[in-house]
Amino acid sequence: MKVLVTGATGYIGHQLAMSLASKDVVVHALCRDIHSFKVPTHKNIMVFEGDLCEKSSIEEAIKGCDYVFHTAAFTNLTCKNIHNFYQANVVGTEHLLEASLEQGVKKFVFTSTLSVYGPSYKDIPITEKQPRLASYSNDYELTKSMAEEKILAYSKRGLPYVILNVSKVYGPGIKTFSNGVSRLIELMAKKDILFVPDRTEVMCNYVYIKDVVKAHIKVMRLDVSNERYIIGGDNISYNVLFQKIKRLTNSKIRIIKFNYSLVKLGVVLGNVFRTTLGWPGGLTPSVLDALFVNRSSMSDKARKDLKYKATSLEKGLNQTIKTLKLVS
Amino acid sequence: MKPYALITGASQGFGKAMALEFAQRNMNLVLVALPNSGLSELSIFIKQILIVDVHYLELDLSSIESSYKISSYLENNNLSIKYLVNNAGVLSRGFFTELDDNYILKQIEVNVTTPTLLTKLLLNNLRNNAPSGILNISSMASFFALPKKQVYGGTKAYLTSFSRSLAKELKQDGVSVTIICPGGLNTTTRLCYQNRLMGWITRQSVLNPEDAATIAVDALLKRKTMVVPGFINKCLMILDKLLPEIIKDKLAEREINKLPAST
Repeated sequence: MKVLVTGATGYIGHQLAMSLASKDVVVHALCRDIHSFKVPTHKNIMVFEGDLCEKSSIEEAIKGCDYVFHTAAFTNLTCKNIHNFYQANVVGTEHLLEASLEQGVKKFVFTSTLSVYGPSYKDIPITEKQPRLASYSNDYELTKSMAEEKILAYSKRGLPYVILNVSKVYGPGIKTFSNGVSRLIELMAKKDILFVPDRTEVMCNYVYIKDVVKAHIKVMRLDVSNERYIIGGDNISYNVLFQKIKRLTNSKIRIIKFNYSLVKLGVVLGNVFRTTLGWPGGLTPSVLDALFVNRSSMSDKARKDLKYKATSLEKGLNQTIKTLKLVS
Repeated sequence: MKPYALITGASQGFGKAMALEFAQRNMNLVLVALPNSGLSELSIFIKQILIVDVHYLELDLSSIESSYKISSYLENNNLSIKYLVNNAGVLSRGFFTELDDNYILKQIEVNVTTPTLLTKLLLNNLRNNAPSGILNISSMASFFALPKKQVYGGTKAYLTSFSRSLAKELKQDGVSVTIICPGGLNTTTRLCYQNRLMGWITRQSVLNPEDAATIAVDALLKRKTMVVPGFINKCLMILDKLLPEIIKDKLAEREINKLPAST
C-alpha cells in the first residue's frame, strides 16, 4: 500500500510517516526542503521535493497513492499576514484535493484542529455536533475552517474524506509552534519563576501525540468515510496542568499570576512597539485570547466508531518528561 | 407561556448570533433557514444546552409560499410571537452586467418581498403580544452608493425606508420597528477572509456578529428606531455628510478594488 503524507517535517506528520513506514506502508513524503534535518528517514519512506502551493509539484508524489494524509499547515500564530495562512492552508489544500480526486484516492485524511469549533459553551465539552458559537479568533482557525469547507465541497464531487479535529497535542517530537506543552515542561524544569495571566482556571483538552498518530492510521484502515472526529484526551485546567508538571519534574518553580487585562495591555503595547521598530511578530492579543479560552472536548464518537483510546495525561506527561531528559 | 422570537436566516452568521443572544436572554425561539444549512444542529444545541424552547422551519425564503407556511405553522402550534427578526438576506456578488437575472430576482424576493409579507402576516400576532417589536436587518450599504452592491444596497434602502415609516404607523399598537444598519460583519468564512484584506480603517470597522447581535437586541428591547453598530461606523456616517463626493468616491473605489475576484 502507498500513501502520501504532507507535512512530514512537522510535529504530527513526522511521527505519522515513521509509524506508517514501520508498518510496511510505502510513504511518499512531500517536503519543501528535502535536505532538512526534520525529514523522516526509513527504507519505506520516499521523499519528494515539492510545495503544496504549486500544484504541478504534487502530481509526481501522489502517483499510485491509495490514501492521502494532509498534515501540512501554516500554524505560526504570531504571523500577522493572512497571506501565509491562506496560501498554505486553503490554496495548498485545494491543490492537494484536486490532485487526489484526479488520482482516485480512496480516502483523504485531513489533520484539523479542535479550534475550528471555537470555544466551548461555558463548561460544556465540545462535541462534533456543537455549532460554532463565536467568530473566528485568528487566521489559523479561519483558514483551517476554509480548508474543511473545501474538503466538503470535494466530497460532493466524489472524494471520500475523514477530518480529525485534534485538541492540544503534546508529547515527544520535533519542536514546532504546535508543541506548546513540551516548551512549558522545559520552562518549568529550568526556570525559577513563571509569570502567567490569572485565568488559570480555563479548561483545555490535551491529547498525546501517539494517540493522534494511531487515530490517523485507524481511520485509514477502518471502513469510515465522510466523517469528522474529535481526537482528544483529558480535560484539565491550567492550574492542574501546572501542578502536575511541577510535581513530575520535581520543579521548585514559583508561579506568579498577573491580572489578565494587564497582561493583555502589555501584549498590545509590545506589539505596537515591535511594529514601529519593524521587529518580527511575537505574542499578539488574539493569540493570548485563543490560549485562555475554555476548550474542553469529548471524543465519544471516536471511541465508539474507531475504538479510540486516549492515554491519560499523567502517563503521557511522564513519558514526555522522560524523553525530554534523554535529549538534554 | 413564554413568548417567542422569530428569526429568519438563523442558521449562520448574524442570524445565528442573534438566536444565541435571544436564547441567552431566556427567550423561546422560532428559527427559519434554508434546508441543509445546519439549522437542526443549531436548534437542538440551543434547546439542550441553553434550555429554551426552539421550533425550527427549513424553508427557502425566496418563495412567497414560505411566508404563508411560517404564518400557518405559528397558528397551528398556537405560538405567540413577541419579536420578529427579518434577518435573511442575499448578499451582493459583483457588477450588475455580470449578474444572473435569476440571482437578482431572488435577491429582491428574499431581501424585500419576504420581510414585507412576513411583517404583514405576523402583525396581528405581534399586536396581541404588545408591547412587541420588529427588528429589520438592513445595512450601511443602504446609505452609500457602492459599485458591486447596486441591487443589494437598493433592497436595503427599501428596508430602511419601509421600517422608518412603519414605525410611525405601528406606534399606537405598541409594536416597535427597529432598523439596524451594520457595516462589515465577520460572518461566513469568505467574508471573514475578505474583511481581513481590507485597509486598516475598514478592518477596524468590521464587527463580530456576536457583538453586533448584543447591540441589535438591546436596540430592539429599548424600542429604538435606528441603530448603526460600532464606533467607527458611526464616524463614517458623520464623515459621509461632511466629505465632498469626489473624495468619498475615491475611498470607496479603493476599498472595493481590494475585494478578490468574485467566485
